[in-house]
Amino acid sequence: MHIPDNYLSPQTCAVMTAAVVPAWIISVNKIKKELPPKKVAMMGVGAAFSFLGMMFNIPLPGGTTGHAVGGTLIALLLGPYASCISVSVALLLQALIFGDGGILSFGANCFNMAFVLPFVGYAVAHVISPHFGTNKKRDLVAAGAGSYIGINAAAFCAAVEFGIQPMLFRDSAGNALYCPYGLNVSIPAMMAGHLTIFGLAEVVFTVAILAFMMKAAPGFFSEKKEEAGVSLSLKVLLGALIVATPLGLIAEGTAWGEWGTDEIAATGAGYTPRGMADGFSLQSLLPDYSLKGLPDWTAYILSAVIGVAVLIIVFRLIGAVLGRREETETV
Amino acid sequence: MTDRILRLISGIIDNDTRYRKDSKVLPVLRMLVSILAIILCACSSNAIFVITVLAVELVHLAFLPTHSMTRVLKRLPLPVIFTMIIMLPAVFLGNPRTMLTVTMKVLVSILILAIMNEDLSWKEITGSFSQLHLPDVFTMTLDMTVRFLTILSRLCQTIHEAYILRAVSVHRQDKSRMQAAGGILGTVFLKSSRMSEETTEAMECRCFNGTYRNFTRHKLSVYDILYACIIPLMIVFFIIT
Amino acid sequence: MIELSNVTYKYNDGTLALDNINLKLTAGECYCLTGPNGSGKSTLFRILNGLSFPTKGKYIFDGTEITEKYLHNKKNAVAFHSRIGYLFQNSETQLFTRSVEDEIAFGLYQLELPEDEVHKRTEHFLEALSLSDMRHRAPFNLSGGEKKRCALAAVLAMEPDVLILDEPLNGLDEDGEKFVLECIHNLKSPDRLIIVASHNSQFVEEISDETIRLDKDHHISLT
Repeated sequence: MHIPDNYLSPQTCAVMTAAVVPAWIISVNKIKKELPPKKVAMMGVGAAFSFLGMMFNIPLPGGTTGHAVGGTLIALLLGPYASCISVSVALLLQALIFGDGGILSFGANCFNMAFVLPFVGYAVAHVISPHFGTNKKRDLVAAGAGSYIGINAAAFCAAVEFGIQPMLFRDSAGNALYCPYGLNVSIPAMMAGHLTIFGLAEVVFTVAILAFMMKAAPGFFSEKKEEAGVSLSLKVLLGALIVATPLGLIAEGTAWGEWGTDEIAATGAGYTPRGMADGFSLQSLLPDYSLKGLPDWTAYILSAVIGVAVLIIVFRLIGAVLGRREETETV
Repeated sequence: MTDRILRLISGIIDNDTRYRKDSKVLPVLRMLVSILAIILCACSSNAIFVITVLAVELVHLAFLPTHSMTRVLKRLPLPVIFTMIIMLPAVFLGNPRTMLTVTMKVLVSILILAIMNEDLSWKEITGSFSQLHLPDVFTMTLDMTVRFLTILSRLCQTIHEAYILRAVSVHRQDKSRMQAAGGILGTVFLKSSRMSEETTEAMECRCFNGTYRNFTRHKLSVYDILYACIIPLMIVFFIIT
Repeated sequence: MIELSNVTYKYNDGTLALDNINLKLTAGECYCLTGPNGSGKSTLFRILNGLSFPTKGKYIFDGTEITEKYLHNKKNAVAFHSRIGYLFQNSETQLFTRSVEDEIAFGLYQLELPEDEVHKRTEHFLEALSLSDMRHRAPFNLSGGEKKRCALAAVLAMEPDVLILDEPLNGLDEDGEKFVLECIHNLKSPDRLIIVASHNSQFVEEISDETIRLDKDHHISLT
């Protein structure tokens, strides 16, 4: 669901960024006020899980791939505001360092996966299980339902964003400047995958990790600050996921709407939209999680390691800053 | 301007007073691995080795205590920015990758050293120097320098404050300020040479005969064996890449 | 134990610091060295500690003449310095390790004592001089009184036969002074020679068995 650069017009990108900025501001304020600094550091772990989840590509018959996001998972563990920021940071890392998702379309990606997904998922989960944290079975069902509906809501938003491009932005010859597929193609294409396999992947990812956390790290759900830490079992789980990331390489083919400029003509459009051919591009450090000279699976693991480490560092720093601010305020 | 320079000199030293537990790994081994990593990164002709080392160090950094992590990160920007500026001509000459490669190598080297500094206490570091048979005069000079930088920076600050209290003239003349700066720094220099003599004598009085001994009570453990395996692994990986 | 025989000391520029000093100091006594500023007290201490050597005359420590050549031998130097403990007037330059604990242990490691002995003595002197709470703190961050206690602990840990204290009350408050006074009283023993330099006449009266006076002309007299 990562929208690359040049699939959306700069105007669309600007609108989507404007739409997500208030969400960021409110989320940051809520986190500063309500989340204890140690849980802010845990946001890094949440972001790391989301990052890793997005590296596990799952194939869909027809040749495209998709992945889980984990936004609902983080929303249920740390709150929807924390999830918004965690997923945004994970998406930023992916865009800047791994070239996964565009820079100009960063706002749109965050709107879909960091705003719509976690908030919808959280709301649905809490409707099903209003006292989340009290009944394990009901919580897991709620989490599954929430994550399924959340990812589909995000996919729908992405589909609409794609689909309106040919309507609004055409060149003089009538060819689309950006994404060439209208709503009649983008919605079925995106939703088909997400209503089936990718939605299932999100459910499995969310429920499996939540169940693991409930069993191996129950202290995480505790209100006490001291117990919210990165336990050994969490570290082991992160490590296992990192090592398993190359499984995401097995799924050949590109996700719908994530084709490269060279691939798009062959997908059925018949031409490469001018906005894509002449558009913005950024040369990232590890493009598509690969490194010249290193086998793909090694580079994938390396990328996973770097991504997870950076996310944990960033959020621990933020937690430390907030912790210090809290101390000076109480003094 | 003089005030700012003097304040900078006196405030420049990080007053390191934190207590550290003894290192789990044999300090000299830890130091050897770090030095080898830095050398191999510098010698590597492509990004693979450097990025791998960067990944490993980032993981190490991610799991350091928060205050250690903050200290390490504070040390990174200046050398990295400095390197980027120095290497900027490479971009104009059409080799932007050179700038990025060198900058990344500097970043990784500083990261390795900073994390090693967090893991090892100064006592362990100087003990390692003696185990590596580095000349004692080198270790002693380094030790004295680090120690006196803190003491002298404070002295510089105190003298500067005394000057400020006395510099009540309405006529602010830069010339007299520069002279004062000369006086302050000169006094600090003279004081430092006297203090270093006295410290040497104090060490002599406590039976120091010029040989730096290793004071760490480290018992060899499985951590050391595992850590020692990193050396051949690193060399092999370097050769492969 | 200590004998100075016709000792004269002149600085490189010819300035006279000590003039024909004759002195015999025995173990079990506590001597106080007094005199106006510039009379040569610090120079005398430097000679007693083997940091400077007489221009003329002899310094004999426990039957051995202490010369530059004698102390050039590392073994002799270690053996000599292990028997004399010197508390400098300025504690700051005497503290050169990274923690109070290390400061006390430094001399003990130099003497190549076994690990448990080092540990035992370090713990004992941390306790005795009320430094246990600050064992991990850096010495140069301590207050004046704490620095003095730390330096004293570091010197005493080596269990010297001769203890030379140069202005031990400098920079101390009333409690600090009482503490040092009590320390010195506790340190007195038939095998130990203590020499203290001080301007404080009350202090001198309280602790000394004999007073050594250096006058402006760098001559010595005993009372």
